[in-house]
Amino acid sequence: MKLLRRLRSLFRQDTLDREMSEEMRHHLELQIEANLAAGMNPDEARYAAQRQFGGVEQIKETARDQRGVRWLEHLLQDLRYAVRQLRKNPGFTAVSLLTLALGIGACTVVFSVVYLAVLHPLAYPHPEQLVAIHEVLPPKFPRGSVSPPAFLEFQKQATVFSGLAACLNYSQNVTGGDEPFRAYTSHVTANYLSVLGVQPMLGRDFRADEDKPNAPGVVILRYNVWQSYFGGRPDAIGRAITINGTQAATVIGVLPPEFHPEINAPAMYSLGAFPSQAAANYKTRFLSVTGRLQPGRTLTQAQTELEVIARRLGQQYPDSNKDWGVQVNSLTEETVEFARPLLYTLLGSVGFLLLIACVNIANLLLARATSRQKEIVLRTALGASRGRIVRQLLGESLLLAALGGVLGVGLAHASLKLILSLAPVDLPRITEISVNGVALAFSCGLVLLTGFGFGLVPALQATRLDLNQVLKDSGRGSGEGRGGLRLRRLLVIAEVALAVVLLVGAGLLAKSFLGMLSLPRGYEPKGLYGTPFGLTQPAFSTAASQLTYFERLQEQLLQVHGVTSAGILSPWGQGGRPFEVAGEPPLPPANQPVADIATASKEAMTAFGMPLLRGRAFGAEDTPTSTPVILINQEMARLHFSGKDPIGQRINVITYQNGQIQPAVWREIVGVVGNTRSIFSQFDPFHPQIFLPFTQFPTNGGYLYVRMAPGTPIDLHALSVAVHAVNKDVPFSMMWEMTGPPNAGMVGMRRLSMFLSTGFSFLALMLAAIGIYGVMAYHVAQRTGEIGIRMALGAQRGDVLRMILTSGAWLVGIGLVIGLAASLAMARVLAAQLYHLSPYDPFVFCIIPLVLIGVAFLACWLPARRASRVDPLVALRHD
Amino acid sequence: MAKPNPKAELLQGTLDLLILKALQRGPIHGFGISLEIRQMSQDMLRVEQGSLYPALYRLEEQGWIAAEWGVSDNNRKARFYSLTPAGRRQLTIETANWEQVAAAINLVLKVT
Repeated sequence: MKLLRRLRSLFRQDTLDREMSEEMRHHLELQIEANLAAGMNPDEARYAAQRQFGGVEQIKETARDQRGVRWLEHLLQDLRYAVRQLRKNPGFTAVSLLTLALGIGACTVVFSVVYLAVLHPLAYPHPEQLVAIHEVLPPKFPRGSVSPPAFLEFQKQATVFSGLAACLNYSQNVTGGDEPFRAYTSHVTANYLSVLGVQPMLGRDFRADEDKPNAPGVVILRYNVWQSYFGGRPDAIGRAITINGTQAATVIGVLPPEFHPEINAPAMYSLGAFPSQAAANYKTRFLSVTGRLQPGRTLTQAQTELEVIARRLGQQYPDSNKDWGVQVNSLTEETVEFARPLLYTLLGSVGFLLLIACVNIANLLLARATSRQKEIVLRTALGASRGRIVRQLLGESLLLAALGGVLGVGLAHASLKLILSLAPVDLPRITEISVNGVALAFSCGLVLLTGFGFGLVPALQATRLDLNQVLKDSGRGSGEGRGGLRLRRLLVIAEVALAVVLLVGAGLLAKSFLGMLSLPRGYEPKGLYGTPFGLTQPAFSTAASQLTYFERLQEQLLQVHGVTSAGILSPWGQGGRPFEVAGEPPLPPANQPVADIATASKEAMTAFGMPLLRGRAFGAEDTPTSTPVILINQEMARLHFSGKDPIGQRINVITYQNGQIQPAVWREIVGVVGNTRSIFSQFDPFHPQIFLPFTQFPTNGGYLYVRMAPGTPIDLHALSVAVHAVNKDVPFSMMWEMTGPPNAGMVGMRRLSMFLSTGFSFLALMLAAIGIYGVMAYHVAQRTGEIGIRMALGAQRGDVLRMILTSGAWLVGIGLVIGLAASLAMARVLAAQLYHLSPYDPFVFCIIPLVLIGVAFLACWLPARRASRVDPLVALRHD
Repeated sequence: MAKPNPKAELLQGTLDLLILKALQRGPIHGFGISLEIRQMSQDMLRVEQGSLYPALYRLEEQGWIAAEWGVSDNNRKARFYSLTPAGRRQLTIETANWEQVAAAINLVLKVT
């Protein structure tokens, strides 16, 4: 009730004031009348009444105090006053607002990304219940896939899960949409989507009875595939499509747009995670298994339960499962682990940036508080308490912070799109990331934090005044107490140190990333284009038809203007395959050497431009019936034939079919080619590689490579016409130049963090420069009188310049040393995120101080030059 | 909240009591209250306006008196104050307090 009245009185402020004036006027009039009645003349009566009454304003002020809403009133008054102050100093306001907007904006933007991509990476209900399950044989297979029978056993025996689903992804050709397309397809168990907790947006989910060998095929489309190849029309449901030219299937559903929008995510979901003949084979491990824990069950319980089952399988099937264990990981964890460390690093660096921004503004505020000293002294002398003045100064900084925050959020919103365009395409939930409510709350927190952070120290400093001291000082212009200047110097040192840490971090990340880019790959990526390519139509099921098709395709492609060579190269999956060398004793499977195996046409090797180091390349003499031959790379020759001539040696690549070792096919090494990095492991050290000639070992697909003549742009339409001239049902839509790493996964994260950390550290450098400039300029202004005297007494311009620069150099020097020491400590944290680069890289640790010294010199030199141009006469009249 | 001015603090208890007492007979405006106090004390107590109005607002704030705009004897708009029931209770309490204190002080002064 009382509070209500108080609040009401706050909003009725003007009315109350008016009533009060009226009441007092009434009183005064009555008093005058009384005086007149007592026999005074009118002037006398008025004068006596006024004297008696006292100061109307004072009474009103005392009366207002009685109303009890002073603090709120003060707050509004402070705000009004703050707005006036900010408008009075547009330069200061602009610099601080910009600084703050950059700091808060950068923090908000990185937080927005972290919030979804790292903290909430899975767009499924109860993501904490989802786990990924692996069969493991450390150290060789620390996170292996799961064999179909093991999956079935887990599903049957484990009690901790409410559902366990499996999938296997590979590409297929699809016809029946608006045009043929190659769909990276996830073959799943029927419960897959329901385990994730996802419902199709259109149509329905799979049914358990559809996951049978002879049941009619059904598929569910990803949203953007539905958009691209089915025109986004609802009649896509029920549409008949053909997979690989043979299997008929019906579209039964379309997934919502937020379900795996990444470019490289599966385009289509169909049933049949494993063929029924694989259901009993423990040796072939290829399933990705996802489980949902029962509510209340933990990861550890799941791990324990599955370990018991795995141990039992090991005893039951020692041949395939001896020593194999199981590993249950949180799905969230596996989804974000590639992005998290670098995003946290970025969050840390924007934190530093914000800190620098705060230090900068604190510095500006300190400088301004000094020039407002007389105002503050006056207020104090008039009876304002210290608390009241601190409150007012804090009000100003909070207002500044709030305005900066608004600008910062705007900036964050505007720059988010740009930043996301630099982010790896598979960053979790990349399409949903926005400056959302949580990010807004976060930036509000930042506003409060920064408002107090940069405002409190200057406010306390400004009010810690000895009135006598100030009044004495103000005679001769050295306005600032010793303490103030010392504090501001400390702030500049801190700022320099922070900027050094950020610059070193960014320098290391940038150098590491550029190092990745400039790795020799063993071929010229410029002008080389590639695309996944496959023939899955039944017409191409025989080796002879595949051979004919690719011969015709190569001929057609060579007709296209600018194409100098074109061919197919087909890696045998990812990861190495074991092999044995003729004449060497057979080794147990665990010790067999491995190499990357690929089938390559002669033309593909020409397109790559792999140099032939010894022996001969593939040729027309290598026919299906001639001696089987292979080429190996330099790394393979070094590792396995060191000191011997590999040419003429024979090798068998050990292959399994349905768990059975296939009879050996001994292939003769006819040549050694230069090392190349495969597109799958672009940044690993060179792998040993074995190439089989396409003519002897045809496949139905792989990667199609085209080499363009230098300076000729690629003409996708002409290429597509050429491809369809051979067969109109083979999908072909896009080719990528092999320059630059694909912007995905770890590489994409490194790229993003290089761009952002470089950008942030550049901002930090600018802010630090502004800070140094501010302090030095102020320093010079304060000493103008002194400099004038020095020059009048014969000091040369050079002396003055040197004097000022020296004082600046001290600040920068100390900051630099502290910053470098802190960087050395910080570098260890970064070590894991650097690619083939020592965190103490001497180049980075040398170049950063140089850059900083250069910028700092400029920031000191401008005020120093001004000081050296001081006209002694003017200076002595200063103040 | 800002500190009350020291003079008012000194007078506060008694001034409040005097104002409440002055209002006991019925609503009057500020000038009337100061006249009333003067008359009741036979010209011995004069209330300064500087203390009167803040005290009035404070009492109003505490809910002991209520204010209302009305028309004064000479047809001018004036703010009339009156006792609320709470104010009436307060007057009784403060009168009793005052009597106790006055009696105590008298006792003290009579010693020696």
